[in-house]
Amino acid sequence: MRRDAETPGGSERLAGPLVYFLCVPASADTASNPALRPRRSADDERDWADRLLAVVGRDPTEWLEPKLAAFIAIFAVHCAFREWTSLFDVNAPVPFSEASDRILPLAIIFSVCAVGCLLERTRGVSLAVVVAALTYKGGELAPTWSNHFTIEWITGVFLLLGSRHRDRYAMLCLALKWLLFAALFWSGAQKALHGTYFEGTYLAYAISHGARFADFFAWVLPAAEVDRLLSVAYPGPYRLESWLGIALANGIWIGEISCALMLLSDRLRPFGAVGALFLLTGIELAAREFMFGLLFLNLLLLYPHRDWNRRLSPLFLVAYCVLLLNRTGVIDIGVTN
Amino acid sequence: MKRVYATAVAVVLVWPAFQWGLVTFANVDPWKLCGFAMYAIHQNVEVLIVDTSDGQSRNLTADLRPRVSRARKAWRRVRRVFGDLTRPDHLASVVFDTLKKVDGIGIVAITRRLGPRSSVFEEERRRYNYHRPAESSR
Repeated sequence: MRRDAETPGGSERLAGPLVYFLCVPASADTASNPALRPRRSADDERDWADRLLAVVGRDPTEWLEPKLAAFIAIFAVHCAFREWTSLFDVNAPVPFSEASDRILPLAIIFSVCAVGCLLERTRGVSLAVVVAALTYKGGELAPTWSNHFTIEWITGVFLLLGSRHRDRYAMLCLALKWLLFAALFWSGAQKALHGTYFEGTYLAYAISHGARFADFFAWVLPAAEVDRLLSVAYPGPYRLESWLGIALANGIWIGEISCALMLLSDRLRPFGAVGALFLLTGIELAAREFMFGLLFLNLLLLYPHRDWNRRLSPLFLVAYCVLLLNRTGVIDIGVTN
Repeated sequence: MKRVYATAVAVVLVWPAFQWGLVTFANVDPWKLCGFAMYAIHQNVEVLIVDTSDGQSRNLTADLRPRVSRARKAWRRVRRVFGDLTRPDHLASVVFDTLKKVDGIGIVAITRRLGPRSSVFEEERRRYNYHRPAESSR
C-alpha cells in the first residue's frame, strides 16, 4: 500500500478504511469489536471553520507569539502615525488641518496605545482603546470610509478578539492572512470585472489626469505615448496604444489574482508572497500611498513562518517617521500620504 | 471563537462580489464600501437642482443660498458613496423651506463613469421630482 508521506496523518487516514474494507469479512461483527472500526484521524475532527482558516497556511506554534506581538505593535504605531500625518497639512494656509480639534485627541490616544501595545500586560486594554478610537473615527468619516480605513478597523477587531488568549493566536494569524488575501485577490478581480484594464483604459486616464502616475509611467512607457495621454482632454477617449502599456495593464490584474491564489498553496506560497511584494512596490511607486503600503506589508509579513515583521520593525518605524517629516514639510520625498 | 473568525473571513471574501454588483447596477462608489476596487475604475457625481415651477425648467445650482448649498454638498457626498440607494428627500425639503416661491423642483444626479469599451466617460442621469406639499404652498 502506497504511503502518503506528504500529508500529516494521511497514511493513518488511508490505512484505516482500506484495512477495514479489504481485510475484514463482510460478516464480521464490527459493532461489538471497536478495533475493527476505521479510526478517525485528527483531520476528521476539524470542522468547516478549521478547514477554511487553515487554507492560508498554519504557523509553527513557536513563532506565533513573537510574530503577533510585533504585528500588533506595528499596527498600533501605524494608527498613531497615520493620525499625526493627517493632522499636518503642509499645503494648508495654517499648519494644522481644519479638523485638528478632532484629529489631535485621536493622535494622542493612538500614540499612548502604541506604547501600551508594546507591553503584554497592557496590550489587551490598548487594543480595546484602539478599536474604540477607530470606531469613533469611522463615525466621523461616515459614509466615505476608505478601503484603507476598513482594513484597519477589521484588523483591529480581529486583534481585539484574539490577542488576549494564547489558544486563539493561531486562528487570529490565519484570519489576518485571509484579510490580506481578500484585499489582494479582489483588487485584481475588480479590475477584471470592471474591464478597464484589458485595453489599459484606467491607466491611460490615470496618466492623463494624475501627475504621480505620469511621473512613474514616464520611466516605463514610450515618451510619445505619455505625451499623447497628457494632452487628452475630458471626457476622453483614454487609450493605451503601445503593446508594453497594454501588457503592463493586464499584467497588473493577472499578477494580483495569481499571487493571491498562490498564497493558498503550501508549495507556491513563497512565490505568491514575493510576487505580492513586487506588486506592492510597483503600486506604491506609482500611486505613492505609502501608508497603505506599510499596512499591507505588515499583513504580508504574517505569511512567512518566522517573525520577519519583528526583525523589520525598526525599518517600519523609520518609514513612518519619514512619512511624518514629509507631511510636515521638513523633508520632501514627493509622497502624498 | 474559530467560527466567529471563519464567518468574518467568509464575509470579507464574499462581500466584494456584492459590492461589484452595487457599483454596476446601483452606481455605488467603486472606491468605497470595502470592495477593494481602488484604481479599478473612476467615477464622479454631480448634482443639479432645477426649478420646475409653472412648467419651466430653470437651473438653480449656480445661485444657491448657503443652507441649500450645504444640503446639496452633503447629499452629493452621500450620493457619491451610495449611488441610487439614496434619495434626496432631505435636500428637497431644505429647498422648499428656503425658497418659498418654488413649487416644484427636479434634483438631477449625474454619474459619470469611465467606460471600459468606449474609453470615454459615460454619463447616466437620474432625476428625482418633488412638488411642494399642499399645506405649505402659497
